[in-house]
Amino acid sequence: MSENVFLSDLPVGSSGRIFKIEPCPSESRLKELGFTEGSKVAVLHENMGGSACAYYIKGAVIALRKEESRNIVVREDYYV
Amino acid sequence: MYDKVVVLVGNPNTGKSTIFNALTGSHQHTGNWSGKTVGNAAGTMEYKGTVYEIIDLPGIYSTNPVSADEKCAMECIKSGLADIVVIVLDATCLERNLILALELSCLCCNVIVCVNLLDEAKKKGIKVDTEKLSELLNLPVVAAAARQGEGLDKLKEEIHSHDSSCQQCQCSVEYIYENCVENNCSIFNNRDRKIDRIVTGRMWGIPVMLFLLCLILWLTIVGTNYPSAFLSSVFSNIEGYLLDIFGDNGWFVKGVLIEGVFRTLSWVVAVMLPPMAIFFPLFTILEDLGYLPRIAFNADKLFKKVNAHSKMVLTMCMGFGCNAVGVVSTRIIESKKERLIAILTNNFVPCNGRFAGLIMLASVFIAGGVFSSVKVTLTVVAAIMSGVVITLIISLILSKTILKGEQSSFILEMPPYRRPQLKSIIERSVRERILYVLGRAVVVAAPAGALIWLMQNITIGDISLIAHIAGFLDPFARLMGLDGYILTAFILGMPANEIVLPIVIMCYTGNSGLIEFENLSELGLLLREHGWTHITAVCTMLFSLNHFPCTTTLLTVRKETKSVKWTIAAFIIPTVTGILICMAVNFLLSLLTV
Repeated sequence: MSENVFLSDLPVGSSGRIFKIEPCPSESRLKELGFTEGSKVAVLHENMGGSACAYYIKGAVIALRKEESRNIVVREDYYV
Repeated sequence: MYDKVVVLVGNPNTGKSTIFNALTGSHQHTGNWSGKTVGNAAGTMEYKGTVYEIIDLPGIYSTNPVSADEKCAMECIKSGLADIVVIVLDATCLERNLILALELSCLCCNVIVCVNLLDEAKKKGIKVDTEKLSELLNLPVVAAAARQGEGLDKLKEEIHSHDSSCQQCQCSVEYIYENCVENNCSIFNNRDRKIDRIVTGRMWGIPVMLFLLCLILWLTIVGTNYPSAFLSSVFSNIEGYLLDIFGDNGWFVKGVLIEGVFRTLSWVVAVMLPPMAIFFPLFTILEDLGYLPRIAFNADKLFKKVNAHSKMVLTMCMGFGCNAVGVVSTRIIESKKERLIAILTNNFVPCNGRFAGLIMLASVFIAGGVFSSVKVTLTVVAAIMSGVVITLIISLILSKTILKGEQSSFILEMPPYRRPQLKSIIERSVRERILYVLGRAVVVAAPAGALIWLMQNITIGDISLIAHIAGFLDPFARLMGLDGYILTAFILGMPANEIVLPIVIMCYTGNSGLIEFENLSELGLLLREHGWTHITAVCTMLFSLNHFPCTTTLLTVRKETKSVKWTIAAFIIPTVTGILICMAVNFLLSLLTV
């Protein structure tokens, strides 16, 4: 079970390791928030309407819109 | 004067303001969310004969600022003003915090690292080896739990004994983290996640939000009645005594001072102060808990649909306290256009002063029967919700017309839930609500009271000045479901919204002597005697929600946008909206009742 998917496609309750971040306007902000290559990221829960999702990254909980998480490529490594 | 400047920097919500308050004895606002502090605050600390100027900066994620508050922080860091830089780190989230710490240690000299929130980290099963951290970073490290007051003496000592140095760290974030932190924190199954699953869940997110809003409103409404009636009887007794003693001292003392100034002051304090003083701390508890960013998360879809930024939820929440504060807090919104939308629509959220008026009107006209306080609560919630709906509609219109632009990203940190600091909430409420409102009552309401008495007693052709003005405005006001006096009060109340209803009452009571009430619904008799119906109450509430911002807010808009054009827009948009809505509602309700 190890193929590259977008963070936005990772199901709630699963986690993965960030493979790369596609060039996008919020690329640098995402990196500053800890979405760096090799970091472990967990999908916590979606909001109402599914426009955004909360992720656990480096000890913090960060909410991203789908437009943002679509730019993050992760390697799904295991289910918790 | 001070000897040295110390600057506090770090990620948002790491407790910089809490440390700042502890070091300087100031009362800088603290709150459990990223972006609470949007401007620099300065205070002084004296330690062992040296005077330090401490500067509290808005939180930053990196040395590349995106939003206005971050720019403000970076400017201060780059100015070289600081003799000592204290980097505050969140122990529960060190891996990310270290990214900024390393960036800053390359940029600044004389750095002290303060690892804060160690108490919280310990509870979560995170252990930080601060000695090892100091060794690897090559910087002095102080361990602290600022809310408990731990480690602050050490920090003071470290600041005091700091020798100038310019060390650079050679290690990577990952290396430092792995060697200094032992993390046994479970990701999915801790307390915060369980709460989040309900509070921000698809099913319960919105119901929980409405319930919390109803709850704090209900507590405010129930809690308001007694102090209001008590204060009212105290003030009318005092007025009686004053009239007995000074009643014969001519028109100035009896008229202007007692019937004008004193009576207006007593209305502001008796009717407006209690709801303001009760609502504010209750709302601050939600803020301290860390709930506000969750509302933004819940409502993201809605705000996305109207092309507004979800961080607007946070600025709207700040608007509940005071619209001027709400306007300043829009600095957290990165995109200029979305920030302008947030500024222009902030006034649709009732500030504390208007909100007290809404509660009063609802109590006067809706109360009675079974579940009286529940009915009042639901009415006020409906009013607030209509404000939110109007905000969304106006945002959509603005984003499709004069503020067209790309929607920017939504990235928001959700803070851990924290126990509210009750002591500081109560202190803050007393200082900022009770004392502030009393202060404003003296500065604004007192002159207004004098002015109104004069306007009531200066006559031109047998009719008082205020009757002339009200008479002039009356035809227009009637179209909006109001009357001339109400509209006059809104105009005279522009310096401070909490004096609007007291002015209306003043106008109606005129020279008729005292009125005292045992509960708020008795005030309704006075209003009904002057022709108020349910329609008048509804329209007054609506116009209170949608009318020109107070002068303080307008000046703040001018300062934040640096543009007269946008300030005028901030005046016109809500006013026109209010006039149209009141006219439409008045028209429809009149049709229904005929």
